[in-house]
Amino acid sequence: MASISLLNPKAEFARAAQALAINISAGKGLQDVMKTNLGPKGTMKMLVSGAGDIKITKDGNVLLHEMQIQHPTASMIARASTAQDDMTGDGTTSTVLLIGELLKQADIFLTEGLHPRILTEGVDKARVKSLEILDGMKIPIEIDEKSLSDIARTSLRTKVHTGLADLLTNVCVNAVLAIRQEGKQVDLHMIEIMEMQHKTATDTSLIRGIVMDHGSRHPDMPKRLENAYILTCNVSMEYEKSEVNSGFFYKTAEEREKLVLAEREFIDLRVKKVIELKRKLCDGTDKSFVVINQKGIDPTSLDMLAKEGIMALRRAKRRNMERLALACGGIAMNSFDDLNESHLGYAGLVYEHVLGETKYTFVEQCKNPQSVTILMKGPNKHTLAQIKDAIRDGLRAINNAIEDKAIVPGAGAFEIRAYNKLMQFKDEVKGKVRLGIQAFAEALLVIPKTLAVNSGYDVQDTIVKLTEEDRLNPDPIGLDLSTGEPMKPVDMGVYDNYIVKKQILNSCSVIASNLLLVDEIMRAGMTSLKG
Amino acid sequence: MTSTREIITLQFGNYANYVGAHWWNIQESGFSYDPNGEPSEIDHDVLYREGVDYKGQVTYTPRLLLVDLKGALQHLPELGTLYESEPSTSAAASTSDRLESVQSSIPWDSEGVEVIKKEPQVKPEFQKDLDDPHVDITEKDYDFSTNAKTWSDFLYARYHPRTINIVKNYQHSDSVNSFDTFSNGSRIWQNEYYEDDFGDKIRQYMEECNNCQGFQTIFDCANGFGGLSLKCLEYLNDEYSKVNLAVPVFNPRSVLFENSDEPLANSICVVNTALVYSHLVEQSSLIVPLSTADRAWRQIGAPRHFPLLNYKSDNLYQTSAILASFLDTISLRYRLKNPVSSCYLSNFCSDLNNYGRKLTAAALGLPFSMRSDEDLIDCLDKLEGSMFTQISPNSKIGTDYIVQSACIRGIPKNRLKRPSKQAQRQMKMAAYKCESVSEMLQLYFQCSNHASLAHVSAVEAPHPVKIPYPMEMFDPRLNFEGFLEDINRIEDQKLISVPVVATVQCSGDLSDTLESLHREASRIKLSKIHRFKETGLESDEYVEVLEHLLNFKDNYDDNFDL
Repeated sequence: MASISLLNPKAEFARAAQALAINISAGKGLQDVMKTNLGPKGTMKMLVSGAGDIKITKDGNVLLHEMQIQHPTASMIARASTAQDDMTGDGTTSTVLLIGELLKQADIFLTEGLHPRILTEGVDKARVKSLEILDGMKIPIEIDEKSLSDIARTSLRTKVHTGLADLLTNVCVNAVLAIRQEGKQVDLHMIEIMEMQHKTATDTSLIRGIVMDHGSRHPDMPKRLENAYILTCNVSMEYEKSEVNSGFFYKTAEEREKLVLAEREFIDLRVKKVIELKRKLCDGTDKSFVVINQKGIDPTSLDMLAKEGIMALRRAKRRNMERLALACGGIAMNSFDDLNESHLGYAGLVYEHVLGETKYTFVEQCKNPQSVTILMKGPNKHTLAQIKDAIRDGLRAINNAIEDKAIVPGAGAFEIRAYNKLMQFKDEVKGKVRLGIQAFAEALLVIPKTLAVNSGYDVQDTIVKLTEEDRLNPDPIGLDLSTGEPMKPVDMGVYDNYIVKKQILNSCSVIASNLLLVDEIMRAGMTSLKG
Repeated sequence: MTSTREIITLQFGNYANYVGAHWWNIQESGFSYDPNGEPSEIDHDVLYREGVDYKGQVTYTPRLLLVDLKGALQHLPELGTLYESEPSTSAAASTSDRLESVQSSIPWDSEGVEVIKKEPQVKPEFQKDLDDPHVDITEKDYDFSTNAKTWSDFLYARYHPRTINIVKNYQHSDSVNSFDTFSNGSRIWQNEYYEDDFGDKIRQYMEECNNCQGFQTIFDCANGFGGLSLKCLEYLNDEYSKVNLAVPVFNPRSVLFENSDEPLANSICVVNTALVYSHLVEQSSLIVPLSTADRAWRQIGAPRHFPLLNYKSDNLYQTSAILASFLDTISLRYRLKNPVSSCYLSNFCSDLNNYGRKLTAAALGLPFSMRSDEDLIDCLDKLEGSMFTQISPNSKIGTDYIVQSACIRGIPKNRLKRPSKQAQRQMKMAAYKCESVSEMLQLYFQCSNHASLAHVSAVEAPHPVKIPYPMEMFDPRLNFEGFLEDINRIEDQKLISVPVVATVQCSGDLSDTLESLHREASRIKLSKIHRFKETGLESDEYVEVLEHLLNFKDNYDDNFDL
């Protein structure tokens, strides 16, 4: 009888072995769901809701979000995986697999009577050791197209099919290289991701400029301009009725009219300032003028601008203000007082593309753009969603590599090497603690094991071959998924992010240890207490 | 300048979506597709937008964003059904076909795809019949009041794919609400989706508008959606600084929260409501709380009595229809065609919110009770008591010192008064000189309410009553146009419309409303309700909120003259 039931007879509880069994089964259950998705040969899951909404994905994090997880332990593991995604953008499936496997391995020892505390001590030792091993395997990189492509490709191939992955790799790497400034952190927000439900996924491309999902709202405005000055601003060109209860302030209707006119004129003045500048700069040359405003532009103002041949866009995204300034140059203006040429940006080509009810405006041919757009295309929503998730992860992988200035060999090479080293390390440790290290080492093998299963190879066969090869070879050895034979990931260009592996090792051992140390689970709601 | 005066509508929460679904249904059943008919007095472009779907067909959909919990949509796909790439026929057959076509189009080994399929939701009969052009829906009785499981079951209007947003973290359930606290809702806003995607959807609507009047937000007040909507209002103010009309609605069915018994659930509701009201003071231009129950803070009170209506007090489908009728009628003021200068949302709000009295009370006459052989002038003459039933919780409006904005619809010109030859007794009344419905009602308010101000709009078109509106609520003595007869309407004659009057009032008596909320809210020990603290609401903050409510109450106490 647990002490809680003295206090609250309605409380549900599970103790010791039972509690552990609950936690372990949750870990295993989640592992079973996710393991088929690991690696480039893993299957995709297509989720169909009751109303027919379709979602196709392979991304561990997306899957965990789509599943309704009720089990408290499972949702804890899922949270660890989400945290992994937030931190690094990759390795979510691996996290779930590793936690599940660690619990499974621990279970073997625990049923034989080992105290969980001793086991977790071993796990922690193993974690520290494997981080050392990981550091030893780091390969420092130059930030160039090749090494970034390798890392992006490895990540993307686990998310979408090969052809598309290679295309996206190219797109993502070029995007990051375009916006990267030496000595500064890369701000991924400066890569706009725009979607068009149109054509096929392989038409996805990188636009060296900005694409906006709105166009000019006036029939007479030009749809295509070359050699354009770009004015980005955050200035209202919209006449707004004053909110004050008007009745109190005017004596006569004429007076009221006058006030309205005066307010209108105030807006007109702003528009005229823009027109003036346009006339000064463009008249008599082949140059043209584009206004992109974060605030509104009302029909009257649009009309005035259209008469001058100015293309005007209203209600631009807040973030596009920053992006436009980086892509075209110029400054986002907050007022039109002393507006001059130095405030303007430049684009070689600005044109509009209409798709159904949505207009897209392309701002291209910028000089040295430091903000770019990835234009995703796909025939339907779920394809677009899939590409979007993949692109986000690809960009993160590249960014991680740039920040780490290092990468580690992929294809299970780290796990194999760590296993061998940990097994040696185990013998140097005295006492039962070494069992924890053994459990950790065995658990790491789940990654290459699952990779082998998903590609259709025999597990034992593969693991034996790999560990053997690794022991004999100073270079890291990974699994070649197309042949099932050992290979050198460095030769094949298969790399993982250092930070991803590090994060996995840390979070998995902590979560698993916590779960193992649980000796009582209780559910006692507040229901019987008065609020 | 005759450009449209667009308004963007936002709905947060399940009950708000019930109300919204009815409202859009009412509006669409009022659409006239007759090219030769008289053009409507209502400018539908205010709330609706024109669009083009992927096949180039023109669409006309509400300028609306709604949020609900996962699972609340039942059979309705998130993107709606209007913009589907291929037309769907009967539900079950098409989904399996579609699955196959999707599966074959994946550029991956087809064995590599594992399909996880949930049991397809069966479309209710009404929705099936809507898809089938051969069925006349007006001929059938769908009995929504017992059958409707959620608002999408009786939704006649079709939404734009942008419209529906889902809170994925919480599962919808009829019995237990897991989306419990205000602070929980505020936290939801902070995640990436709302900051970026939701904000961007608002921007897209905004970009389409030539002359946006502002926003109207309908939301569930007593659960987590309160926090979400308040965050959204804050965002709207930061970003657009337009007029914000806030309509908190109260679910007439008391719902338990997860891991709570009734007293605890009620306390949570009170805290949520207090938080909503005090934040609304800052973030909205006008507050019009709606509920069909007379009290709503702690426990749901008794249902409000409408003389000619008979509804089940805890039926979501019926009660939300009453609230929707109110919204449809009161909003006429800013939806009329040929606007005169005072027909803007901003005027509507600023007429009522003088001296910071942003909280108002709503009242409705559904139907406007008038005998079929009477004229308006006689009807008002004989009227005893009020023509309205209050539909704001815990509010009583006195008869004096009130400011109100009323709308009346469905009184034809020829029912105003008799022509002078037959007028007889009517000639003696002061109201006989009034030439229009609005003028006469204005005079009535002037005479019956001491020292009060009233704005009256009148529309000749009545409130349409068509399936899926709950017409079974109406008294059987109403004739087909909704006027009262002595005998019951014959069975096969259907009610097609009713006259309705609605008003939003503001008076010093609302200080009692705030007082009662403050009393209830200050009685609660916040530290005993852990879930608020867990989601980031500190006790100090709550004390401030209570103080804020008291200050707000002061606006009503001072006896300003009008």
